[in-house]
Amino acid sequence: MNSVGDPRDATRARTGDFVQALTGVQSRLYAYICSLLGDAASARDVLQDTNLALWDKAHDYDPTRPFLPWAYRVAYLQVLAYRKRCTRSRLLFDEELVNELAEETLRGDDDLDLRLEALGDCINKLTGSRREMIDDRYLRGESVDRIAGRLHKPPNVVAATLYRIRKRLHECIEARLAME
Amino acid sequence: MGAADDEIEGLIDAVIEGRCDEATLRRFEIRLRNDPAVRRAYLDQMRVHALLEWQHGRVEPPVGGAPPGTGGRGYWSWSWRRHRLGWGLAALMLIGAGLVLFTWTLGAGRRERQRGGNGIAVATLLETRDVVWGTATPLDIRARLTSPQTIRCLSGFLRLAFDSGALVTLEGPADLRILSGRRLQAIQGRITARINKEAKGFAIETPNMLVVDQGTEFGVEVDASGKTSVVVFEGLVDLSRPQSVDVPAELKQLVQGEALGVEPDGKLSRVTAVARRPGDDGWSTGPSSERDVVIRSVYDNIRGLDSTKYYQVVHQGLVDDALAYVDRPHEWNGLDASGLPAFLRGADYIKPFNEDKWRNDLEITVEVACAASLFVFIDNREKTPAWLAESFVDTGVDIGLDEGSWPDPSMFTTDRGPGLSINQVFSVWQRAAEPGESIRLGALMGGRNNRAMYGIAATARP
Repeated sequence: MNSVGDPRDATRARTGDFVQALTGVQSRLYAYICSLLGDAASARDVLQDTNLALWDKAHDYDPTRPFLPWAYRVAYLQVLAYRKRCTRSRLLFDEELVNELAEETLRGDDDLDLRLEALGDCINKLTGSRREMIDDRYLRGESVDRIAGRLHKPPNVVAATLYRIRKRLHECIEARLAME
Repeated sequence: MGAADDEIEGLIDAVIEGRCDEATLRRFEIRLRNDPAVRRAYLDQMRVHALLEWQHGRVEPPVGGAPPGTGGRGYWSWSWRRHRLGWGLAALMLIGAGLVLFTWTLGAGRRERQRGGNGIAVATLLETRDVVWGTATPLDIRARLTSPQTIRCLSGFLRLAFDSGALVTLEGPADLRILSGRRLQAIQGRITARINKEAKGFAIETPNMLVVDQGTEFGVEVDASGKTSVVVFEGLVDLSRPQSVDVPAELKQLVQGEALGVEPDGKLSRVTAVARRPGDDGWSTGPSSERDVVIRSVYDNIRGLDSTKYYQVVHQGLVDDALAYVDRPHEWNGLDASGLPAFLRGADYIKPFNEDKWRNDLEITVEVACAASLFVFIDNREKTPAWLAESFVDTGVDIGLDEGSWPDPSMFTTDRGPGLSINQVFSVWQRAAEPGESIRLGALMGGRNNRAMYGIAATARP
């Protein structure tokens, strides 16, 4: 048995807290980064970069202070760094707009876990072709072009349908949250 | 909807789907900067898009990913490009996994969310049996399982209840990752999933296949070589390839009584037979190696590698109301209240395909594991085939077939218990078989006039 006050215990507990905090904010960080970049594929890379950066700064972590604002700040810096790295190879928003979107996103930040839970119920309310299209796009990961080809529809029609389904899901989530 | 709204929708779509050219993106930037409503619409859409990707497990959490050497690629391989983070977090998650346990109220179906813990709690560990864990921290019964979370065991059996409505059993050796409340990643292991209506769309991805449930019960097995087998016990599932650059995401649907194997190189292979015990979630696709089985394997001569139909071998499963065929809801029953004859009760039996009654070139080979009595049940409306008369003897005992609704709906329904709603009478024929012997059974005589496929059962001889 370790003695009371063993520094290894304290380090282990602190590391455990850090891991819990880091894994607990992943969905929020992803949504935040997506909004700033406008590109889901890039967002996955930047989430990875952000996790790495946070991991490298783990020794600075103070469990008595809120984790999320710190994580957002690190994510923001990683978005800017990614922009600079990929400015020639990828189409991304300019830095000024990234800054504005970051501020607006933080203003509207709320409990994304609640939203995720509401989303599950809202998806279950989708029926017929709407549900199939969400499954095709997000469950099976099919591109809009591939779905369009299979349904013999123009891609912009499929994209517009997905837009409307997402809008409906957003409204459903808001209604669910308003009831709670 | 006005043209301006249409344009905004189109711009947001283009950004989200990555279909923007530079001019479109710059035009969109101007709209975003100058119009708060556009900015709000974009952020709302992007947030729902991100949540949908997250919920469907398309963004692999840091603990997940294909371990090095398993050939993971495409969207699930990205997190392993930095092993330092992946392995570091994976190791620490094992510490973290034991930190917060939650209680689960099954009756109320209460959904508890894990705030500030390791992701979101999405499932509960209901049962473990003979589990040898492959992780340093074993999971306790009633532990809440989170997304992300890895479950590894060297052997044994686990049962998980997902809040989304899926009941999942896992047989080791297994390496499973919970990617979300509706999506699992199987690196290895045998999984059986029973899905309620609300959980339709529950998905299991393997190294070479994505299986999406469309209702009821199915099994997925990934063996040590990376081969995936998918078996549908009830309802139907959609199969597709994981999204990647070089392989088209073809879609195939399997229904009840169908199964398919996918080799590590992507080639399809037939799953000839699936063995199962009544009341047990366990199943297997290869020849049975358990000591107490009588029927070791079954195969036929008429289906190629592209066939998706499988024979079901039910060990010790022949009882009153036992399903008779893979592809029909009909049941075996005793002709009166005394039930099936004692010498058949608890026998191993095979569910064949009723559709095969019309095949005049059919040969079914049954291999027995021990000294056995092999039985064939033949519809009394059929002529006795020569192969049956030559090597089997009629026991003089008859049993009944209680026909269910087929095609659905029909005038028939099954009843519960022996001696009720018997529609057809079958004669029981018998022969002896030696340990390890393979016995070839033939076709029925009447071609398109045949009424019902024969049944097959076996019991051990002393």
